[in-house]
Amino acid sequence: MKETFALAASELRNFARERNITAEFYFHRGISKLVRFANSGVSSNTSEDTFSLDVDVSLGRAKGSFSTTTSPKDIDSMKIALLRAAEIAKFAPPVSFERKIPTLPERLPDDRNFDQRIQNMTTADALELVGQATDDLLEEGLSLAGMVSSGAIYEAKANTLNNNLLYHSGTDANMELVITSDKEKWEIQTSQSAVKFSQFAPEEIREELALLLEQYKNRERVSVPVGDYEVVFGRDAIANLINYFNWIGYNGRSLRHDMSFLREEDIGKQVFSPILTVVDDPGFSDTYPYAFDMNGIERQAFPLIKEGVFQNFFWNKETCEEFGGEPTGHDVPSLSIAIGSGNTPVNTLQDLLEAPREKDILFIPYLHYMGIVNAPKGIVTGSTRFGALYLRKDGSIAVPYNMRFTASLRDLFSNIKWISQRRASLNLSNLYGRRNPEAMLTPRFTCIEKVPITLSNTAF
Amino acid sequence: MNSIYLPLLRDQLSRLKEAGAEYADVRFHDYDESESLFFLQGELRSCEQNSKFGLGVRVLCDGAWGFASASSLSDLDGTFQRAFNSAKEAAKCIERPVKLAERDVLQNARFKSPCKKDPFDVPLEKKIDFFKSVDEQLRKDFVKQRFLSYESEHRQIHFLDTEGSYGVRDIVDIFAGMRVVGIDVDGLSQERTYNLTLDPNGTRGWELLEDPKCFYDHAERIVSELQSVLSAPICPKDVRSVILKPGIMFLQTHEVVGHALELDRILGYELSFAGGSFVRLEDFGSLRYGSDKMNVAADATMPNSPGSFGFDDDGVPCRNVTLIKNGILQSALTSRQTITEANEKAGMIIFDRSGASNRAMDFTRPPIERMTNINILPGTDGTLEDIVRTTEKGIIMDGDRSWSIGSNREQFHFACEIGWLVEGGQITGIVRNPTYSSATLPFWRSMSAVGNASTCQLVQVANCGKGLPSQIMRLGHCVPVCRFDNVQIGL
Repeated sequence: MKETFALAASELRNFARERNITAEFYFHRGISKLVRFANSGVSSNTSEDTFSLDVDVSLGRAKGSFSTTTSPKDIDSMKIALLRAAEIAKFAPPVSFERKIPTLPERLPDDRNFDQRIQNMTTADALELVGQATDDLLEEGLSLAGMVSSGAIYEAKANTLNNNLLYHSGTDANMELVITSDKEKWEIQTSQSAVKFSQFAPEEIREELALLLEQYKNRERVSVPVGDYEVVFGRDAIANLINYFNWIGYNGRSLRHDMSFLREEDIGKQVFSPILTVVDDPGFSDTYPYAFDMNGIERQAFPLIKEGVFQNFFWNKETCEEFGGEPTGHDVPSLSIAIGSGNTPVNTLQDLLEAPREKDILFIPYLHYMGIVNAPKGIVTGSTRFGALYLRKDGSIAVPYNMRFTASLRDLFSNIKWISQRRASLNLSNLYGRRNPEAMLTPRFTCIEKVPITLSNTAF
Repeated sequence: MNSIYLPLLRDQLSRLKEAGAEYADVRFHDYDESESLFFLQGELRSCEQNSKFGLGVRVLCDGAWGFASASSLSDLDGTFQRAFNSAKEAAKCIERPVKLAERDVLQNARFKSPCKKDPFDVPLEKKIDFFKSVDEQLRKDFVKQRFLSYESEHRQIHFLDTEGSYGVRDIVDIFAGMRVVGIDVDGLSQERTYNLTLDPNGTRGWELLEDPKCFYDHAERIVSELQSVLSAPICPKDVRSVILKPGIMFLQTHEVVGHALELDRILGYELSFAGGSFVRLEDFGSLRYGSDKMNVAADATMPNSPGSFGFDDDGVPCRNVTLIKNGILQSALTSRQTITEANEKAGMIIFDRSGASNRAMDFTRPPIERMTNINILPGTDGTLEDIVRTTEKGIIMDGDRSWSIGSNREQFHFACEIGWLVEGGQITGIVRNPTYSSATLPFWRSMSAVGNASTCQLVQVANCGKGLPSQIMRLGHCVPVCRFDNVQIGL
């Protein structure tokens, strides 16, 4: 695909230069397969192979953009896209700040995280994985839902300033399985993310589902009274919460638009618990990393929070052009966020269930449909879903109905009590529109004190 | 209108039928253009146009679905075969074979959105000038940031299936929004927004933006309301009556009526992602969803809305379906597949025919149950002022700031942009950061007033998300001002 992109880029550059057009080109090909399960069978089996080109034409401080979905070999369609972008740029009024097309450096192709086996995954592969993960678990009254998603992306960036081509390709896969009670409507879930096919370990999924299933089949159901609780969040839940930092936390653009709960004066201060460390690190291959961003800036480990001390905002090119500052290599489709591990030897669900407890605690593995109640205050809300447990001080375990919590991110992450030693990657890929793999490296468990539960259901 | 590719697509469908497909359809987008403009502080920050071309093929074989899409017609054999093979493979793991309900074959069906001025015929300079004039209305000292957005689409979609159906839809949609942000007395940002609304019987071309009452005239109002919010006290924690204006009532309806009544959710097809529904099959015809004042329709026959589209992606003509009558649950958002399964599971006929709600985002996705126009029918409780007069202790809310819903749509939390406290039948002041939350059924059962038709607004939703692979959908909600009693606010 690199050669196809290079050929198209060369043709488009020449076509643009002949017409004195200054342009940037972004090529994207996504190959996707998704097998979806519901009611214990395959409910949908889809495959997609789409190519798109984005063209930005600059005319001084004015810009026109056009994108087209076509064949990667249809150069004529791409030339039309270029001309249409140029036409838009003619009429677009200039902005008040300088916009510069970056001089792309020469970079080696970034294809270190590509596994042909993932790109070639079949329905039979998905069925076999799911079969192994759910072997013997399903019985009368229980249903299987979930999905196995796999695919590949090929991307390239070029412009008319020079003849360099930034090229990235990678594969990603994810297996998410849910077992539901047909009658009671409770749900348990677990997932596994993979860069390479060999990373799938369905027996681990089975083990976790089996243990959760045992609790959900046999334990008392309770509506937990509203109030403050010590909560052990699972990796899904903690990734969901930390992901909000990308939008309303350490994102420089949000800061400049008064939509961040972190302030410039917070830099260098102990804002969070001293056991919280967060870094954007493309060295973690399980996060589908980019070696360089779309402007060719080499991506390096970028500390965001170190032992609770806020380190820095990240800045993209456009924000820096408008407000000043230097881009930090964050013009990428996805970041490589990793949360630091802790020193508590609670690494599996079995460990958690067996750990001694000083008080009643909640285990919340997953948060559903979160919303930002107040961005500048960092207040978010969401509901529990998929396998929450009520772990009582006396050693007993109950199954709580779903609950809602509403809290500020600043408070939540100031009250961390402990973090697991082990981490795992959690797939956060965007399946809207273009394929965009993303994953976060998260601790298996993160225990937070004083989490306000504001609503508690009386049924699932 | 006729595409030169149609004979090729028909040939492919015939080939799959001969190969053993029980059913197959293809949606072919031979014209699919979109345009978006984004202004910040009066400057055009981005102007993007997009052109798409491609097809999505859905095949039912041995009781299972397969789907494939491609952005090129260069390998039609391969694309159709991929869909067919996917169905054959999926058939090895099904519990219940898919059966499609009967329907009449579409005979050269045509749908065209009502539109006087195609937005794509309006020169870019004119659009830019228009939004700059709106921006002038938003420009005030206390407004720190001004956002304007515009998006239009024009798509021509051909639908063909192995049962002999053919139809073509020529769909125009237009969306626009304005948002102003200011800093409140505590140094935190507050915002007011307004999104382009529709006349249900009007048209939805560029002329909509030129009608001041649909867009332009609201600029001054939201700026004034923002100014009031910036120095207003915080919304109290309390339990009181909540009066929802259409700017939040549409989302209240969307999240815990519309989504809760999608039959695929009820049947468990969204359990691994979007979630399920607290509604059970045995609830139809008997569940008291809301008070007697609650009447809800899924009306895809409204002349003018993105939730009206002629026929769905099962090739079923649009309908007006009563979902809730006098508070009692009647029906759901349905498709050919799900009504058959639901009736079989229930052991009785709950749904006599498809509600024509099966829609796909574009050619890259298979269709699933989506909302059409989920409308709260107007009531007899007069205007907003009339409802306020009969409210002892309440709060009016408007503007969706955040929303968070339980996985079975059984409870929710909404934050709004502005609130007006009501005491003794009068508005007594504005509050900021208003929120409310509740369990779904107690909330709708506490519905104590429904405004008349003069309080209704048709609000467009441009980005309803659902499904895997994920899809967004365009739809509408025509909703009046409504009041609900004993609601928790301020959390």
